[in-house]
Amino acid sequence: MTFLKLANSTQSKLIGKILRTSMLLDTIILFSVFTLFFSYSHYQLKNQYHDKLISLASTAAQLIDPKEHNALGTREDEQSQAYKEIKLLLGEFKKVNSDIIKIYTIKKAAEEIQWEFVVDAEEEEPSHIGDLYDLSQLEELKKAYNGPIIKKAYVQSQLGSMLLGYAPIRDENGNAIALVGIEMDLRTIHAENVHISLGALILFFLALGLVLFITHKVSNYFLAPLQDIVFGIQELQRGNLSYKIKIQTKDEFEDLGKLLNMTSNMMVEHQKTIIQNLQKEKKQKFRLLKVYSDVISSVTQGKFNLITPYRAKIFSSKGELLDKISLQNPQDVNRARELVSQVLEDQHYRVNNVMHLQLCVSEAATNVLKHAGSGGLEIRKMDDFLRIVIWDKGQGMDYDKLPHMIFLQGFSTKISMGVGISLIYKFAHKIYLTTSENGTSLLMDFQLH
Amino acid sequence: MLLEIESNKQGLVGELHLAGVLDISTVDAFKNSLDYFQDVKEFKIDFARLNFIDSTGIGGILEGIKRFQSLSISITIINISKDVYEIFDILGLPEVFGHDIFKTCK
Repeated sequence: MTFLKLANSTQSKLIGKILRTSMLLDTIILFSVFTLFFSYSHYQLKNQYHDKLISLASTAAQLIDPKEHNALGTREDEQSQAYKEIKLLLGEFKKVNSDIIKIYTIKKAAEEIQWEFVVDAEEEEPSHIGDLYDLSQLEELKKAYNGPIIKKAYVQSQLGSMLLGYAPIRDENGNAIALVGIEMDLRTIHAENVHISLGALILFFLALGLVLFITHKVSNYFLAPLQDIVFGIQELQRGNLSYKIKIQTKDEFEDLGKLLNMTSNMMVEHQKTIIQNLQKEKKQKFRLLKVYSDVISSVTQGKFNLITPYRAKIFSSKGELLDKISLQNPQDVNRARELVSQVLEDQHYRVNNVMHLQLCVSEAATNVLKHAGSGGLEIRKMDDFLRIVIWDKGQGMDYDKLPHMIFLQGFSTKISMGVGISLIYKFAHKIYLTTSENGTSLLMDFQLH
Repeated sequence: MLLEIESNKQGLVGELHLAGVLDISTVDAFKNSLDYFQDVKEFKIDFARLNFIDSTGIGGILEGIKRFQSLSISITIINISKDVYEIFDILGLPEVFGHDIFKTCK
């Protein structure tokens, strides 16, 4: 991955991480807040209904005449005026409050643990005086004699979920003689709970969306300097080392920008140093080549000449091209020798010793294959010379070893240093050599008779 | 074929006849042919029909000479032409390995 793509990818990943972290934290916080909100609302609603139930039951209990109520003992008393009044009263409560499923009065039966209905406001199939009351509410009934009470747990019945409340009917002495019981439908509470939940949920998602939007905007704002840094790195990658990042946010991004600028300054300095060193090296190399060239030419009395690639190009194009061959594999060495012999024969040229000429061609061509892998050979006719040009595109030879190759006596040394050059020097009339990291060209002149 | 090699072995005497050229393209074949003569006491390489040799070929010959000398096998190169002997002489081979090894054509 390029540096620029890495930088862009890093920025996107950063923003992504911030958003995900923010989303997680915001969800936890908002969820907690809205759960609390919902719980509080539900608690308030429940208390509201509890208060309402107690209030209704207490009010009804106070409105009932205890003496008249006490007088109701048998089923025949259901025809009495007192019964009807009390039933009517209870009926009014039910009519006015649609949540009331049932409203009635009850009292202790002859047996202490039994309770029985007295007046039931129900019009269809009411409970009659003396009908036994549900004993599962016994604990509440006992407590209700002391004061209004709500059954804490909701009761499940055929009619659904409901709330039970009791309030005592007291005589003139303040003694509880009976209870008013109210059964209240909870469907309304449930419906209001659903509304609260929906409202809370909608608010939760709205709040979450708003928070994420703000987080995204804030992240982009704080990460904006990263864009400048990415752009700066891009310029460096293009080689524009003079580009300077300008961030003035007085935070870590500004520090990073300054650091990158310092780094690019260092790179500029290093680049200058490298260029200077390379130029120096080139000059030194040229001077050294000149020295070697002068020495070798002088010692060989002009027979062996080190020349520049430019001069070699000129020398290689002089004269008439008679034939050429490429050197790719070992068999081409023999083909090169045969080609030279053939040219001599076809052109009726004569040299001092054909064997020597063939040997020089063989040595030069073999060197090309051994040191450069491949190259070429040209045969050119000069005025009274035959010029053999052999070239390759290898990495060049160490010309500082040339004196040893040419002059050193002793076979064992020659074998290690390169016998070919020595033999070529022996048998060719004149030699020109150029060598560099771009390749080597060897020009051998042979006198024609 | 650029180099023809004929191998003869009679008892403890071996002979290798070379015909053609001994250069970079044929020197490996020459070196491999020497393996046949590991068990002789006397070994000759006949240059009578060798038309050309360069420094790569000479390098192969020298390897053979060193190898057989290390096995205490007497080795000589016979029927060397004047031109080829000139090259050996330029390179100083007779001085290094002994004139007895290099026999020219009569």
